[in-house]
Amino acid sequence: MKFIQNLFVDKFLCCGLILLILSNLLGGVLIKISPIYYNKHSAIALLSLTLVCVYGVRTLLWLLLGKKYQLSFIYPLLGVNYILSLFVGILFFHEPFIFQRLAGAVIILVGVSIITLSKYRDDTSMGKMK
Amino acid sequence: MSMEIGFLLLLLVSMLAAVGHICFKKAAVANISFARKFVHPFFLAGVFFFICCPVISSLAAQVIDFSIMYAMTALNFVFVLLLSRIILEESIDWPKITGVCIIVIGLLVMITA
Repeated sequence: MKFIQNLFVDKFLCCGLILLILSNLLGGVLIKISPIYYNKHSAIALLSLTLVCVYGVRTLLWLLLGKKYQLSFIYPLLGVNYILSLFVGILFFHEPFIFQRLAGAVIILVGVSIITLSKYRDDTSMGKMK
Repeated sequence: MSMEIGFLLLLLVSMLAAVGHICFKKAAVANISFARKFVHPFFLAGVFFFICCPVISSLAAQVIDFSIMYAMTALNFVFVLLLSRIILEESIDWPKITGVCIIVIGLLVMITA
């Protein structure tokens, strides 16, 4: 509960996360609709441009949030996307609601959260090969 | 295009994204100034891999549902764990292994629905 309270107090985190979640989903939606326009070069160019913008915004948000918060704290919050993507699929692409898919998405979210419990977070070797 | 090929393409996308992440990491830890990192061969290779990803995903999107396509990006975690162990020689502990196994189970539950 404390986290939810903090989320409303900390507007920076709240806005950043919402934008990050939206940009992730928007990127996916753009990829999903792109096959319709394979024959229209101008539409594909426009789509690619939007995709580049989305990726750019995402990189910026990661940098901004990453400066203030631990990656292992933010990353599992993005697991919510796996559940949201189900509803985006239902709303925009008329996919059927399948309970087993929702269960799978929740399991993925649990898995992502467990990874963040790992104690190896700091890179002491700085990624250098021996 | 059949569903099987679609899934294989998404598998390839996850691998390419993982390789891209490894390349970025290599450029990030390279012993050079920040500005020069953006012309580092590993950084450019990473950009190349990340450009390939949406293009290949787009091909797969013709036959795969949006929610499944999105969920397949969770495979990145698996490949990143494997590659960072092999190439970057990072440490692996139980939370990482358990988490990745649970993600794979979640994905299997999703795509068999």
